[in-house]
Amino acid sequence: MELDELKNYLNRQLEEQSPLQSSNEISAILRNKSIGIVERIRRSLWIEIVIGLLAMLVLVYAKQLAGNYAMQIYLNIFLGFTILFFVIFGWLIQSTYQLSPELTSVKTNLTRLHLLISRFTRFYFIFTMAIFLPVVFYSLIAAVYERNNHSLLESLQFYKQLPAIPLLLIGAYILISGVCLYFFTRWYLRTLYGKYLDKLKVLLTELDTLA
Amino acid sequence: MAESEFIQLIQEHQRIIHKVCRMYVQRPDDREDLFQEITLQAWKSYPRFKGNARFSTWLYRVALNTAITHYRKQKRNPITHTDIAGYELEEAPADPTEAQFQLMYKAIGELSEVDKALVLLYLEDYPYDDIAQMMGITANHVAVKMNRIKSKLQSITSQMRVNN
Repeated sequence: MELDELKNYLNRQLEEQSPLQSSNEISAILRNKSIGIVERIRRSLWIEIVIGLLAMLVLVYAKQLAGNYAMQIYLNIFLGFTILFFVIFGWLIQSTYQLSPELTSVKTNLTRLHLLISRFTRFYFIFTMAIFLPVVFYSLIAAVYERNNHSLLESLQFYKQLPAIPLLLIGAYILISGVCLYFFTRWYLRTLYGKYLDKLKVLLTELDTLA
Repeated sequence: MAESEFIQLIQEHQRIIHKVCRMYVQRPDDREDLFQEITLQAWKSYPRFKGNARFSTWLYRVALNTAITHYRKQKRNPITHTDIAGYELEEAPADPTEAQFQLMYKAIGELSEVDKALVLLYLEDYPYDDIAQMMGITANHVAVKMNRIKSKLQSITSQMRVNN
């Protein structure tokens, strides 16, 4: 009896003071945009893909204009990166559609969501860092090649053609930029998804723990 | 046709969504956001609703999955006492049983998100097998967890009594 009373009381407390929505209000809700995490990630992925597509068009156009060999290689590497980027982000978009809250249990849903966000943040980080080094490296080669009109092999030995002090300055610039980019990307991803990922991990552990 | 059918179903079962929102979110504006998100997720999933299960069970599954994984941005303004219309209760009632219930209700607010889901389903009188299926754990696991939650609630209410 007491348990029933308690159940009634708690159910009443949870239901009370919540204004019931009219059919018009519910209809208006259906026109709104979702603020869910999966939709956010899907939107981010689509934005990255659109930016990637635009970059690809610019690269193809630039390739037509680029006369020298070093520049051609530089642009080809970027095109390769962009295509790889499309494949992986397309695959991630596909996996966002596999999350269906009505079909899966709470545990499966949490596991899939954790996996999706971990993959998304990992690939985002890898791409940001992976693109940085080729940008700097091939920019230097292209600059040396352009300036001195050396062969590509000679340009690859650009460090021999630069005096020690500018070389040190360039090295310091690359190192500082690389470190800054590394920490900035980590901070950015951590701010956006870090706490949320931790929360999902805690919930999963809690579901698995018996004691 | 499907839309009007869905709206009617949501209107009939919206107390489920309100209950879940009230259980998980304290701020009224956050609660509105969550209500909207659950309704939207249910609408997106509705074409796959086959009618094998009761609509209320199906809606519970959608609502709990959405509420537990709900992504909340950190608010600039910290939560204030007047914002909360959730677990806070204004006056202590004269009836000691009522006061005990109120204390229990407040204690539920202190539980983790997984425990809150279990309590909600338990309050709806779902059998342990159904709860287990919805949560993705075994029925034994549910039983163990429910016992643990009961002890946890006891300890929270005792602590609250000491503090008061």
